[in-house]
Amino acid sequence: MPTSREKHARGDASSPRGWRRRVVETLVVIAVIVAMDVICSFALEQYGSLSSVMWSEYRAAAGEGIDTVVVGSSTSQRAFDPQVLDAALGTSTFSMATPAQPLDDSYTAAEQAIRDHHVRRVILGVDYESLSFDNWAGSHVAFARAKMDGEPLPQAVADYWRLLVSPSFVRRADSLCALFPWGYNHVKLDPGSVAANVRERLSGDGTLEAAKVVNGGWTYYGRGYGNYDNVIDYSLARKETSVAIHGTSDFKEACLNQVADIARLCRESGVQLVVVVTPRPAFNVLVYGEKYSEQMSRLQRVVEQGGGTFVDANLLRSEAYSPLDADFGDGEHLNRTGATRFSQAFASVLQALDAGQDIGALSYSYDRWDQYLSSIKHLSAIVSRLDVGDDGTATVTAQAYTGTDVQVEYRFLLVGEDGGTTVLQDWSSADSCDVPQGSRGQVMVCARQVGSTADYERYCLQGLAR
Amino acid sequence: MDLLSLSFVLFLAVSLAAYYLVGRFSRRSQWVVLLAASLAFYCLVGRWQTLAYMLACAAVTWAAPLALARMGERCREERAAAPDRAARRAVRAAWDRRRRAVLAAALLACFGMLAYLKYWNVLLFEVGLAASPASLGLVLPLGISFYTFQAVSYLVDAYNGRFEPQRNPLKHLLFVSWFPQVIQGPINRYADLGPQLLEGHSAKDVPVRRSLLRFGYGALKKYAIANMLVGTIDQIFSNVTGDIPGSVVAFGVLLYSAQQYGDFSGGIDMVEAASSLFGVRMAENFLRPYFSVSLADFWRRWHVTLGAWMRDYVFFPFAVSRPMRALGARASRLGEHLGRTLPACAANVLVFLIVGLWHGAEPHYVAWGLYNGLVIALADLLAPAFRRANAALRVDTGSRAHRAFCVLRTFLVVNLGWYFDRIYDFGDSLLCLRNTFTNFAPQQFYLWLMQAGVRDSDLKFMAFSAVACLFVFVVSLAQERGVDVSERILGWNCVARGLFYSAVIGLIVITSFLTQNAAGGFMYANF
Amino acid sequence: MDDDLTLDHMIELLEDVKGNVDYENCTTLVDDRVLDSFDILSIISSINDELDVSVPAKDIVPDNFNSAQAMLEMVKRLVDEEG
Repeated sequence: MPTSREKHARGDASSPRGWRRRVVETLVVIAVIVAMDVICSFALEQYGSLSSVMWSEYRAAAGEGIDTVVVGSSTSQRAFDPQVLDAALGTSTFSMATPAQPLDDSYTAAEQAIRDHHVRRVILGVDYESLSFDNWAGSHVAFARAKMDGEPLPQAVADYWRLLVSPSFVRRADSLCALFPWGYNHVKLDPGSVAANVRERLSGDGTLEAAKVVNGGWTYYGRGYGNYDNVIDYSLARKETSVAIHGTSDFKEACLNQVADIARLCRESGVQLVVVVTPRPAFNVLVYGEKYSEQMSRLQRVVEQGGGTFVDANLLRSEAYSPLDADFGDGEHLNRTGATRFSQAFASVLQALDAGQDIGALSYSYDRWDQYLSSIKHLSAIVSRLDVGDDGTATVTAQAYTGTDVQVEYRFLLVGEDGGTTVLQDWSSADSCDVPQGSRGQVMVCARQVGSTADYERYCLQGLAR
Repeated sequence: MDLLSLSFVLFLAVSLAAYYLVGRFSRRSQWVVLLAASLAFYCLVGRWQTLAYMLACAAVTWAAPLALARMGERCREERAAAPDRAARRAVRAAWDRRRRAVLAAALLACFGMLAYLKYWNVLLFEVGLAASPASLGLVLPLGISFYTFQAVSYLVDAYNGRFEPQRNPLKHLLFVSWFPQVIQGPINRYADLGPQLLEGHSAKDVPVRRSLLRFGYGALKKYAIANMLVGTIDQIFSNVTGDIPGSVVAFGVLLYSAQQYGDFSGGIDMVEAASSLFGVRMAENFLRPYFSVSLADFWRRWHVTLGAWMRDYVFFPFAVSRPMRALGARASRLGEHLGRTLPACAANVLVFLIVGLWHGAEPHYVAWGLYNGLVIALADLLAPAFRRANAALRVDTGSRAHRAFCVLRTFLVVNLGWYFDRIYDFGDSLLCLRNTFTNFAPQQFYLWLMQAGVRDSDLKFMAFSAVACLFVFVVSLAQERGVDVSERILGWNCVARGLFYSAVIGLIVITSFLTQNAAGGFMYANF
Repeated sequence: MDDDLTLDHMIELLEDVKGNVDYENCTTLVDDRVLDSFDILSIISSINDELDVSVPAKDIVPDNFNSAQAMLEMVKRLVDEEG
């Protein structure tokens, strides 16, 4: 026997009034969820993201002529200074590159610039991870949200829908979760960071001012371009290699297809496409071993088959470009001075290209990898590892990233916990050294080229476990 | 295609719309929509190339029961015409033999396909005839274990005359291919599922809100618990060395018990919810297994439908077979209890051996199966001794404390089993087991985890999983006490519900982002 | 086996296998997991030993074991079939 309450409930649901009540309740539930979504987005979504700076600056430049755009991820954003390019080439360049920009967003950016400005040239800056890694949901959402910001509602909705049904989203949880964009690109989930974000949003600062506050040390130089001044610490190379951060995998077919799509877009619009592998310290190229040339040559084929021009800045001969140690901010990015020097060099490459010269001659090639390896004349970095045997004996082994013709010698010092140093093994070509039992502190591995009298050219520190 | 994705939502929306639209005109043809949706789903999620295996399985299990039924009729006709009782018996024996041959051939065809695709390569590899466990390039078709078992249960039930076999091959194909069960079960029975698929439903009768709640509950388990923990578990058990601290092992196994439950039961919740939107209730597969009072009880609550399948098609037939009865009769000379339980114990060990193999052909799965089978068999053999001990110690077996003790004890026994399930090398399993007891070393816990590549942030973000686990625990406890949790939640006022749903969605959104996109430390990259 | 097997006989047999169960009234012995598969096997072996009726695997379905009455009917049917 149903209880009176059950009868009541059932009567409710089937009568018209019950239905109306059901609908109203459902609408209220949805309204509460949407309201919470809006509140969370306001509080948690990063205000002053670099994507939003790019899009707001791009819109602000609507009245100016743009004939060249730079697209790509942060390595691209921090490699090309539009003003340096323009000074050398007389062009009008704008950088639409944003951090971790996936290739389909690069496509979107290029497409937009072609439509708005009929640009003549698209420069796509990539690095190894642009093609081996396609899991960038956070930057996808930030990019789409920033683009939506200044658009009329129908266009904004269409843009976001396009994101949700894009191949990298539609079959995954992201396609639903991104309806709650604060879950992506959010500030740190502690009260201080959230409060600071809300304060910044309410302060009346534009996204550009906010971005300067959020990204300590970042300076905006105009035309979509901003950079940092920090300089890489080569003794931390072990952590700085992209392989240590992302691992190595082969280029994804999907990524190569996206490059081909960009090439087709440019070809069909009569736009010149230059795909540039951005500069990094040599150790961060060497760390991939043979994989680098094997994978990059796949990219080169795709670009050239699509009618684009391919330049790997890491393989440029020293006459064309030769970065200094201090040009890099970290293992993947140039700093400001580095970007200036690279942009000058790259402008010359473009001039040669415009003059119809064979720019292939400016570079080493992937099928003559040995030539590239022997062209490296400096010690790029040294890393070490610690092996502890079953009997407790510890051995530190060093690995130098350098050219094939460079002779390296090593010295191993024990740096005690009190800061005092003792030499474990003086300069020799031996790249490993046993650590006496019971040693505490760190082993400092110094390396230099044979013939040098410097204390070291590169060093690294190896912690001793336990 | 993830179940929690726009593509699945769109797929469901289109299928549901078509299903109920067709229902407006003809209830009797509604099932066609379900079949179309199931085949479409199979091609979308799996690979259409492997569809052939499912079609073959469906064809065999459709044709064989019809043949068996025909043979049954012929047998009856001949028996009616037989002159005397001896002749009738002879006729029946002859037809029984033929029927059994048909059954055996059909079983061989179904299990042969499964064995070939799932085990042949591993077997060749183990004996050194294949370069790797995947060198033959055989693609395991989506859901083959599940649809094979489901189809075989239909075959055997039909053989036993439980129902009239389905004459329409497409209707039978729908039973075999019903899309919510194809990914990870449950293994349904024809008598329960068949009529529901075919009878047609009206949208009015569907408990939409309950289904959505259940879908969300499943997503929470899968994303906030299982997916959050799987990486850390992997890091722990892919780095097993001789000096792995027992504290790390125990931590890893505990995480695994949560991950495994979250992943499997969460996925089941989601597919059950999807199915119920079509008015089709599939068999339940999890009954809050971590509240079990014994290992045997656990296996009646964990992967329920596989347990039931094993019970009906392996355990009983084997335990009541002639050799087992003989064994029982001989053993009963040593004691009545022994005589009664020995056949069951033997059958039980066999069942778990098969369950182990069902998971995979690797030795550690076999060890895991044997462990479960032996523990249950021993518990049963020793039951009188336990009873006597309880009586001697004056344990109140009806008390709450005793029940809690049993639940805890079972949880520990289950976790010991996970050592063999999760640690992919049998030697490593034993090593981890040894270290759990001889080298717990909690002071090395943190250091070891860091060396294995577990990041501080991974540990910190486990707080989200902990919240989700607590939530699942509270819900399960209420369900154990007979509370209809969905009904309760749906009874709240709509603002409270909206806030509650927001919290759950928030947890899923955050954890989904963390697990899928945090690779490489891009958590706060500020794009 | 004689034909006068009664419900009382059956209940007596069941109580030998597992006590503390309300066999007279309960009709969901399997569905409510009062009896597990081990108990059912014990019942089958008792039926075999004491009534000399062997229960084939195909008859081990919940419906046949949900109540003492159902078991009684199953046993009677099996006796008929054997004849």
